[in-house]
Amino acid sequence: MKITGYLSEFSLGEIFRFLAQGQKTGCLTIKPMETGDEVTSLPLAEEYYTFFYHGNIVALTTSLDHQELQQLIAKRGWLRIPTIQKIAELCAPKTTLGLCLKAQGALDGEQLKLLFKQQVLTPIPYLFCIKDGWFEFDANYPLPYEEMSGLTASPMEVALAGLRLLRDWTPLLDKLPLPNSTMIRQMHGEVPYHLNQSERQVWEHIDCNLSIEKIAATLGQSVLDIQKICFRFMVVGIAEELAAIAGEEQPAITHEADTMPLTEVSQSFLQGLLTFLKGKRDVA
Amino acid sequence: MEIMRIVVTGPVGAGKSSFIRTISEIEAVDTDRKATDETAALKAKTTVAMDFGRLQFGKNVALHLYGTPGQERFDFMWDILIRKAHAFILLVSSHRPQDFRYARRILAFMRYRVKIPMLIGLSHADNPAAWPMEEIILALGYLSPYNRPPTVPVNALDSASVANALAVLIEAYAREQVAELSRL
Repeated sequence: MKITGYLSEFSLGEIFRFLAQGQKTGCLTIKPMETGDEVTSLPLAEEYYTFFYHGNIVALTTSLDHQELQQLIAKRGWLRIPTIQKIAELCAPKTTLGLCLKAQGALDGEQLKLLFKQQVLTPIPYLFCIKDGWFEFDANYPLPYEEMSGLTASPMEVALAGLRLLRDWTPLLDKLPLPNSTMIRQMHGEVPYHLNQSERQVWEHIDCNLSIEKIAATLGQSVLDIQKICFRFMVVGIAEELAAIAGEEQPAITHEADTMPLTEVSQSFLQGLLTFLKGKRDVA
Repeated sequence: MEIMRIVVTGPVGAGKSSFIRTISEIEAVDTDRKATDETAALKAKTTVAMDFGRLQFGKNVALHLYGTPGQERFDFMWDILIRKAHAFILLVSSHRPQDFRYARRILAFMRYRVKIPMLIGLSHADNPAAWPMEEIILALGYLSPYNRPPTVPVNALDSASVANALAVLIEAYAREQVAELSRL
């Protein structure tokens, strides 16, 4: 399975949600076309490859030569590249390089965490500052075990971090929930992500039949700021937008409709219609 | 006269007007006008009020089809249409991931206002850039394979394809009706 598109159409946050919720395995390629200033914090590259395993992020590379993790280890002065390669030969196929080195006593868990932070947790949020780019997700791309530390990150957590870093929201403006929409919680109980103070305040006001505009007025913040926070909630799957009808102040609804309309259609009507449609379908 | 009302909805350019025109036995009521907003980049004309088509398949029995306005906003016309509808079809272009967001918005809008059977029709499924059906369903927010509406590829210009989509929806409606009766 391959899917392609442009970040201006389907934003990185939406892609991460799609890959996390679908528990996808494969390679997400991003080829930047327009970047923001914050992107200088990313390693310079023509393409970025983020690898997913069952919906979690396992590696980020800027090339497909399977050498980058070794180079990171060597740059830190922990092991030389020939040594890494010799140790790797001792491990079973499909063992991540990080866990292989740990099993052989060459690196410890703390070192793997540092590597993963440098390789994945620090740079990926800056991918969200790419204003536009082409993307492809290839579910058939084999996992690069040589680039994997053995640790994983939640795409939702990373997306939350990335969207908090974002300064220029221009490319996402048409993707934000509408000011007169309300937000509906998609989960009950404790939110599985750490929310900052502003997010926590907004979270407490959603699901109360208040539009985004009204939440902004209540909290004394700009509508745009509340829209951005609500977009983050949507990306991590904890809230959903419920649009209002133009002219209505807000939808006076807080739960899903639960009954069929009273004016039902008779069985004989349905049978006649089905026969007619199937005839039309089969004749054509 | 017994009438069943089906709403055909979806993002701009998904094929709503074509779907209705293809199956309607009357000249579909055309409310397409020159697009003036961002819609113009996609279509020279868009539906400003609603499309209407009719299919009379026997004495005193007819299917009415209503297409929602093309612009990406919900107005009073939506409220009128969906409150009278027995079922609805959400048409989505398979090759336009930028439309999935608005399609999700429509789904949430409908889910919180009415509980009626629905079908997802995927148009342009033969386009080289089309996303696979399974992935579109996921992108629309249906995470469980056991709790999804029926979904079919639709060629809005082909009467057999449109008839097939409607037949699948009618079958879903009949099943839902039986389930609702058994709950009473």
